[in-house]
Amino acid sequence: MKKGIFICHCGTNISERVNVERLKSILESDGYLVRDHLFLCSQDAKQLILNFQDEVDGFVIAACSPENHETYFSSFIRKPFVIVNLREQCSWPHRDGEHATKKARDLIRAGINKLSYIKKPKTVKTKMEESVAVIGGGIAGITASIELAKLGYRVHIIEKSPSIGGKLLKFDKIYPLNDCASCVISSLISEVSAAKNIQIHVYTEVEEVSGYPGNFRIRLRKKQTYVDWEKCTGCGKCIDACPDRAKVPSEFDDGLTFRKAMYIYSPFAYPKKAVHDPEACVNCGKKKIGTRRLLRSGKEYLTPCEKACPTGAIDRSKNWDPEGEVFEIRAGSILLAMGYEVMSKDSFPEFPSHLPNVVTGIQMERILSPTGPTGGELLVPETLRKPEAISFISCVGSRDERYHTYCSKVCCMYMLKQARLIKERNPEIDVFIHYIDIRAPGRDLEEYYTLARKLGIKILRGRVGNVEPLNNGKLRILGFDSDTGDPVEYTADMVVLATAVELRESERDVARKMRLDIDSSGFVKEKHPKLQTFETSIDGIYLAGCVQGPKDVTETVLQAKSAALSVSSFLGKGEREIDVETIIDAERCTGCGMCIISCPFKAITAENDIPEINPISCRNCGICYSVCPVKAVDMATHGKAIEKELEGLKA
Amino acid sequence: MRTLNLDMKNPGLKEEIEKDGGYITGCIQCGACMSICPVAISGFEFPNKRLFKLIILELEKEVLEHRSPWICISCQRCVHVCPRNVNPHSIYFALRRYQSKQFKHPRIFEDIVRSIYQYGYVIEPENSKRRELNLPEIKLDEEELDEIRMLMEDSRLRILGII
Ligand SMILES: Cc1cc2nc3c(=O)[nH]c(=O)nc-3n(C[C@H](O)[C@H](O)[C@H](O)COP(=O)(O)OP(=O)(O)OC[C@H]3O[C@@H](n4cnc5c(N)ncnc54)[C@H](O)[C@@H]3O)c2cc1C
Ligand code: SF4
Ligand code: SF4
Ligand code: SF4
Repeated sequence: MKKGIFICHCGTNISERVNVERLKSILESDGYLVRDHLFLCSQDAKQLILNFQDEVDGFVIAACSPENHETYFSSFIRKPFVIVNLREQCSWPHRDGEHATKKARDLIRAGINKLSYIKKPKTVKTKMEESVAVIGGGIAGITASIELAKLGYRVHIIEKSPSIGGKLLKFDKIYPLNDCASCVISSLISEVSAAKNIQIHVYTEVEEVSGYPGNFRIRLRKKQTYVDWEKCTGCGKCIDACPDRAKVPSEFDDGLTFRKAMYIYSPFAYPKKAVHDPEACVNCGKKKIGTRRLLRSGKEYLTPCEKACPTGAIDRSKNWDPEGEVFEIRAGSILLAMGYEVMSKDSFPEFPSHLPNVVTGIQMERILSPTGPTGGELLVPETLRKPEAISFISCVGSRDERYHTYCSKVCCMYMLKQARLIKERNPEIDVFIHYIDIRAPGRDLEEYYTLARKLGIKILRGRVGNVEPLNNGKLRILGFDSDTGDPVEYTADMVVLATAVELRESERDVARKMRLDIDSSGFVKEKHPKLQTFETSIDGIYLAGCVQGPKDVTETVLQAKSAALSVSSFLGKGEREIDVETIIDAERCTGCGMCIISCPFKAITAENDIPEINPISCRNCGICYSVCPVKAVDMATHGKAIEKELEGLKA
Repeated sequence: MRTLNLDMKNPGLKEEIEKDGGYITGCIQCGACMSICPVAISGFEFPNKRLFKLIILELEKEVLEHRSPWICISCQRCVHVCPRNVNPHSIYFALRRYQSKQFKHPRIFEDIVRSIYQYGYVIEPENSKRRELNLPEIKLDEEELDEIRMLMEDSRLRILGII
């Protein structure tokens, strides 16, 4: 019997450049059995492929990238086969049909050459940990954790701030229903805190990730709180005792207020425990951490915070380790839910962002929130008077070639929300929104926008070119209204900048520790933009929420729940079957160790001087294959077969 | 083009015009009403949507100065194309009334109204010329004319002192 070739037209994707008829006749005159089809991935073609394999010893499928359908073809083809990529690597990148046809011929001949050298890889089974590490305790991490716990997995939530809850704890209302954000997130927090199989690690960061899909090892650092959380009841007495001068901008209020060196992250923090910040501490009691001070009576002197604490949770004489506590957890799967940050207003020299009355969208959320600096009353930050006019400026740092080219997706809607909350509570305040386009797709969102217009919010299409501070503390807005075609100007008491949603470098670093890709917008990249939107390039690692790109709560929860299901279907089988593509021939190996130091995935270890590849960590990159001086490494489908393929190309 | 000063607003303007002309804040400035308006198409300066935006921005001075409501020929095509259920036609008429109330209507309309009051016609019928041309005389009988005058005296035209 002989070798065969099955060419796919891919509709016209391949055939509009590659002359399939000519290609067929060339390859037939080479002596191969050749067939073609409009769509080889169709059900109709499946039967033809099944018939075809009976006529040949092995064959080449000349179609699209093996990324797309290799798994599908492997599911029913029993004879050896090689996929040659005529689409991404031939018809798409070339304009000249003549050239493309010639290249297609060469690629197929190379594929035929490779065919004789591929072997079927052996398989091994590996057991998987039945636990999941969820990194980030915002609404994405929390909803996914609840789902996973219901499915019976042990869940670790790893949250870097001292409280879980994420951004929603900062908001008053959330669109589209304008329901209470705290109520939404608080009930979910109660649920995770009550779940027996969910362990919450707050004030904790990821140090290192090792292991492999199904068996990840995650080294964590619980930062030092300098308060014994076993004893702390969250009564807040230490905060009252801590002097006002020991202050730094509050993280929870996004810098609108100050917090002290002793603080509880937020009024609805979970867990509600105090944290001591040594950098803000002014050492008012003249007793450095780790030292003692005895009174003349011989009794221990207590600093104001120590004295205030009714449970003795604060002990400055204790030698606390500033590095905190490093520990390791194991997880079969990892879910990244690290959320986002908004760009700080200082990033924009074109607006007088140093002024207290120029705020970001998140700061405006705090101003409107009942847990915020003014208890939810709308007051101008500088004067604490009621404003007469407020100006919202959209797309600050988004859709702007100087900063981010993408749309932050939630700003149009949250500006409308904030404007509505202002107008509903104070109809006399003049509210302006300056936009480039209003983007309100999604359930109930257009109707939300229409309602905002009905409330008399003045919506102006056009950018603001300048915001000038006036002597009376107000701001002069110079903008443009493309509806009338005129420049506009007016005075406002406050300006809200809808600054771009972005992922911080520190969070990208966490993703890099897992060898995940970062997309061109700076968010963690999903495996496929349409079909695998919460999977990543690494099996067993999933994404949920804004870590993958800006999205609202509806979309975040949708993705979190889907990701939880995927985690469960990944771990659900309890074990995983893996192809062993790369192996080391112990007979040939001289033990030089080159492979061990060159493997980027640390997949090769040597016990008793004989290196061995862990098939689960190995990503089949082939580096060990190419560095081994005595050619002791063998790869089932990529080693020798690729060499032969290259030889075929040269011929 | 000149800069619109949005501080110079009359916060009651929108409500005042909506009372007569109906819902207006829903206008999304799509321009559909302008695209089919025969007056706009034939080249007159008839920027309907601009007018609506000025009302939304509560800019009374600009709204009062605008002449375009008076060019509307009441074909009502705009009413059928608006995707937001705004009734542009009724807004033009609300604007006519609003402008008149403040004596901001074009003066020529006073002559027209007075002519109707006096003769029952928009312009004075020139019966002497018609006689020369052997055309029948145009004239309303006193009874019909009284009826018209009564209607007009009952309207705001009297309050405004136009008749
Ligand atoms: C001003 C503003 C208003 C908004 N209003 C609305 C609205 O009304 N309705 C709506 O649907 N959407 C709204 N959104 C969008 C909404 O905030 C997001 O959809 C939602 O918060 C996304 O949830 P998340 O869990 O992905 O991220 P987050 O809420 O940001 O939570 C992420 C969590 O991960 C933690 N974390 C970050 N990095 C690490 C790390 N390295 N290690 C461990 N933990 C980490 C964070 O501390 C945080 O707790 C608004 C957005 C903005 C900017
Ligand atoms: S005083 Fe003690 S118990 Fe109270 S919040 Fe501070 S550390 Fe916790
Ligand atoms: S590089 Fe080759 S010879 Fe050297 S240790 Fe690895 S497998 Fe053995
Ligand atoms: S058609 Fe309606 S919505 Fe569009 S500009 Fe005219 S009035 Fe406004």
